[in-house]
Amino acid sequence: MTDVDDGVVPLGPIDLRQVLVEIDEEVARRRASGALPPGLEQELDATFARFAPAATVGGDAASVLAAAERSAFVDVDVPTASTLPGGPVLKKALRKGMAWYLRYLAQQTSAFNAAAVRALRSIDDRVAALEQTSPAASPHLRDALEALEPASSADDLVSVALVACRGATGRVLVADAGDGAEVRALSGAGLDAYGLDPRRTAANRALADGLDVRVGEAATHLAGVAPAVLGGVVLRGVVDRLPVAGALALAEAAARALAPGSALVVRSTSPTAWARRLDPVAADLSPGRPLSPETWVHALGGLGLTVEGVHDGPPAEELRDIAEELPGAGAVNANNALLRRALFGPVSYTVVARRTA
Amino acid sequence: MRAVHQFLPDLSPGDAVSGHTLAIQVELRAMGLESEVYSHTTHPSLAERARPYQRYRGSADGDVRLLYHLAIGSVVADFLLERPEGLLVDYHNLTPGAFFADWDPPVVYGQSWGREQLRALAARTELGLADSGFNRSELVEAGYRRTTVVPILFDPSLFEREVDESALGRLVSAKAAGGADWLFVGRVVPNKAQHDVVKAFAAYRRVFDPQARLHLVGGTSVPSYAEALGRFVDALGLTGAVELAGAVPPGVLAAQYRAADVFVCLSDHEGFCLPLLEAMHHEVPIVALGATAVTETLGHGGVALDRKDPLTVAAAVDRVIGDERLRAGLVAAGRDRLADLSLERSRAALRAAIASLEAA
Repeated sequence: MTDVDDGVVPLGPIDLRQVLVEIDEEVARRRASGALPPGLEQELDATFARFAPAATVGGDAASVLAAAERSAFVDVDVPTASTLPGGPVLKKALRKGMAWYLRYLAQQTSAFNAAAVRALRSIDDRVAALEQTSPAASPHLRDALEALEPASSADDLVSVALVACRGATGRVLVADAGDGAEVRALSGAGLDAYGLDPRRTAANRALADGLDVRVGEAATHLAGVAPAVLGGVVLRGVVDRLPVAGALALAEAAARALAPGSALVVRSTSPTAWARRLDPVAADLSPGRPLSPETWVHALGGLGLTVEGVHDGPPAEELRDIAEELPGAGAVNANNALLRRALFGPVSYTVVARRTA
Repeated sequence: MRAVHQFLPDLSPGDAVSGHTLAIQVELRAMGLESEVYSHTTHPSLAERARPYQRYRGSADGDVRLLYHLAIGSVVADFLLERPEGLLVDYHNLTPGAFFADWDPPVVYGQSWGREQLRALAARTELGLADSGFNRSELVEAGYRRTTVVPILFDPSLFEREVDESALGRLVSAKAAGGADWLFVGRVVPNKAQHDVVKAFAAYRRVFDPQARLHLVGGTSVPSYAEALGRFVDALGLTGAVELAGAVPPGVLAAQYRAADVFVCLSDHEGFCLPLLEAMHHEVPIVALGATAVTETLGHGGVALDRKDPLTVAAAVDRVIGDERLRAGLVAAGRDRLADLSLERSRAALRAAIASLEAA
């Protein structure tokens, strides 16, 4: 880098990396101050999505089918406007002269397109009917699973995430952010945190509180994130309700999105607590169930991440301690603790893994 | 070697590959070689500069090479595959079809056809030329044995010959109302992601500068994307603040650069990105997404971001515009980078490449 020669501005070497760090800090400051309405970026995405092809913006099947239906008819009446003198007349003559031939072909193509779209529509209807009868779509199961999610004030998760993400320069994603407790805590610590939650009510509540929490599934979001840009990822809730393959695919997508040196924090309900607390019918019909911490350690190591530790969450409360002042309370409570550990274990656990440079 | 004739699918004004082809022709002739341009389609304004490729009659004396410019699938490549003369391929990159799949499916075919031809030409090609190291790596991947980098022959003096004073006056008078002028130059196509520039611009107006203006210059080859972009701008209520200028004559382009405060490039895929050099030449500081060949072409001549969420881009632009020392430093670094990619150096790289054929 050289100095400018006009002498107006004194120049020294400019450290562009430092400039980028300062820009990141400015962004975090602006987000925290509410200068950018938390919903604005979502609004921009949604507005563009209205005009883009459904598939480009991750549209649902119904939107894609509607787009296919709109495109099924082949129009042979081509526009005849032209900026060249005589162009419109020539084009109209060509259109008229070729119409008998093109219409013959276009009618067959349009008929095929219409039949193909009708077949797709029929398949879509049948899939929708199947989904209605699927256990995974049962409102009863969804309610039961939602009730299992860690409490919003999961202090132990917040403290683990804060340590794991300390000094992160990129944005930190919290999946299944709920009411935004973790996002708030991470932002309060100076990190540029944002959240996702598939439950519109929860996400909107967080948004109303001035937090950058948007409606969405972590897997869909991470698929669109550039590699190696995030300063941290916290997966909570979502890993309890996905099938094994989905949970591992989500971890892989998160690992890909992490910048070197950044942490992936996986918060899971413990399998024993999950089975014990869930309605038996919901548990049996659930599409997925939490994994053991050993499985996460194995899986994250397989993704090339360095596992730094497994942190137990709060203990189960099935055996309550007796009041300290009662006679023999010390011995009884100590035995309670042993029984809790042997029979129930902690309600949840958190695995921290880091992407090495 | 007696002659190097060039072939390309289309010769049109304002197109980087076309300009590069004509500049190479000048250079080859200056080296004392015969050189003609053959194309499949030619814009009427350049009819005198090129001949239909079917009229090429060939030479059997082994002293002639054919240089093909590859950026999309074309019947011209199939024609050259059947020719006995020695082949050179100048690879300008093929944009992955996925960018077009939902906007303009036929383009996907053109791109995948081009990739097949890139591989098919490898075995027949004596030397593969690439605009950038990024493109060169794709040549190697496609099986090209000998490759070299010859950057686009960019002649900045062309901008000095004509500036549309009327356009410049209009842009300068708009500045009087206050607000910064953002500029991006490039075809309006999905991989150049003009919609992301609009998103960042909307955030910038909301947070930093409500008077700012955005100028998007460039024609389109994907009308559905251009139409969506226009409707997006309207829906955001930015119609008066965003100018969709379309393709403009060189004089108007020069005026746009002269009036710009910042050049913002958020392309997801570029094989070289010539407008970055144009911005450097006009001393317009650059904020860009550091993706594909952009990082290489930019060098230290701009702020290369690793993500393009609207607030990050907006904050970067605000920093570049508001920090006089940074702005001046970027302009100076841009001059250095421009010197690295100067016409003289690129000509020398071309001469060396041609000379290596003689030596081989």
